[in-house]
Amino acid sequence: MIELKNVTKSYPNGVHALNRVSLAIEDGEFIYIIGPTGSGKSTIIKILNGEEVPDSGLVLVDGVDVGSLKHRKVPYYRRNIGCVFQDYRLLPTLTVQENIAFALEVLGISKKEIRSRVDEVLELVDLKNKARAYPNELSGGQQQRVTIGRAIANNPKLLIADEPTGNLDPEKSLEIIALLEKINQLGTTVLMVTHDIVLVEKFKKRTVTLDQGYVVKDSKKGGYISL
Amino acid sequence: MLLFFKCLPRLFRQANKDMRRHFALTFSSILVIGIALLISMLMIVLAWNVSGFTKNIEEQLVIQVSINPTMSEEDIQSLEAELKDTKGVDTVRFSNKDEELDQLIEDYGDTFEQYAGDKNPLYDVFIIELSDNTQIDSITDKISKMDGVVEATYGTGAVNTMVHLFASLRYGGLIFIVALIFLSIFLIRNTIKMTIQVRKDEIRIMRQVGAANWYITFPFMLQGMLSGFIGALGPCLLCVFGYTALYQSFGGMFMSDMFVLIKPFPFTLIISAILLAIGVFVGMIGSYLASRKYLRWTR
Repeated sequence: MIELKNVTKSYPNGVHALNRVSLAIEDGEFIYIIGPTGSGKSTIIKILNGEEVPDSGLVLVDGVDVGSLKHRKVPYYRRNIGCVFQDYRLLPTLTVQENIAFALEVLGISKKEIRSRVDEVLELVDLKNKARAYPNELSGGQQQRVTIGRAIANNPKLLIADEPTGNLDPEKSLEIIALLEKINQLGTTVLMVTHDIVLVEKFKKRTVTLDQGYVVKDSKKGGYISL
Repeated sequence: MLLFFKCLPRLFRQANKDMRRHFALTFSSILVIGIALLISMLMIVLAWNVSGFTKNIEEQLVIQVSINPTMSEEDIQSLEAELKDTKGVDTVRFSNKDEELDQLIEDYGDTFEQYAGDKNPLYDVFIIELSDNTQIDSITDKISKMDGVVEATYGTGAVNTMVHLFASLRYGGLIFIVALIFLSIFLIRNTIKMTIQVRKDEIRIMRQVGAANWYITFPFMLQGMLSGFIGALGPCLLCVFGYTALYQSFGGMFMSDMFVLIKPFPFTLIISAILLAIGVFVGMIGSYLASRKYLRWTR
């Protein structure tokens, strides 16, 4: 489903973020991308997201050539991709359910459909009782669950999580991983970028290790291998 | 397209919310548009009327050539031929002194009747209309030097200055209007910029979850257009009611019947439509510039 072929990306400041990265991810996979700071993890996300264009190489997501996507088409492409960030990025003036509904509203879905989908999502991320709370009334873990809820609200095929546990204590991290696994089992491909060695060891999944823009290890078995 | 119409209420709500959130700024841009359009309105009303006046006056601009009473019939006829051959002359009409006196009596009253008959002090005249009134000075000069001409005059100097004044008034007003419109565009752009800054996070999330670009930009365009529209309302109302009131209080003319005012309907409605169009257009341009600059998205 996702295919990167010899993808190279460097930034104007001369940093070579990715060097001839090739990677294939199947439908329904759960994959970790790990590596030290500056290894190119974020760049991979940005490229998959349509935020950055690779200098060379081919990026295919669900048959779409992301690199040559027209500007105008990027928003529509993005609807297939849910994104979760370390810093949540929730709107502070909206309640939990409004935050989730927001992602659906911009797609022009009818109110009734939005309401039923928001209920479903709240159920899934286990925040039914917090539906009317504002983000600042929630704990970090809960906020991250709202973000995940927002990201999956329109049933994306791919969920990208950029260090979703970066700001959370270990216990809450487990909660998040459990949720991501649940989403994965419902058929969504999950790509998670992380620093958290403990998690990677505990929930063994396919693990891709990046260093200085190269794929240095792609382990189907999973687990953290020291470089 | 269907999606666009389905989203319209939401987009309007958003624009409305943004306008209230930046009330002071929105208000100031509305005010500036209002003032700009008010001045534009005055200028348009003035220019329109003035061009009516000018036309009136120019139609009345004729050269009156007084003929020496010692001239014989033939001499007068040859003078007429000479005048007709003069470059820039359109028509030449002969009017004898009795006709002139009749005209005088009609214009200024019966007191002139005492000059009827042999006491008539007036000259026989040629009334000359020109094809191009801007040449009037030089042509009058030329004619006054011809044989048998006592004097050649046209209107008065004051009339001439007025025509020129009106013309420069129109140009000056136009420049002023254009400057004000630019100012309004700039202010609207700034207002929209502020709104965009405040909603930066929201816009980022909208992009993230796949909102189409038009969905993001449209509320800003609406906001600008609404500001322009609201700003134009004041001058429009003032134009419709103010001008009508003015027209009625002046009785349809300004000072003399040389300055006939334009009837308020549909005149004021046309002007209102023009003002609203300018307001909306200015708002649209301003917000387009802002969103192009601050929402431009490169990847």
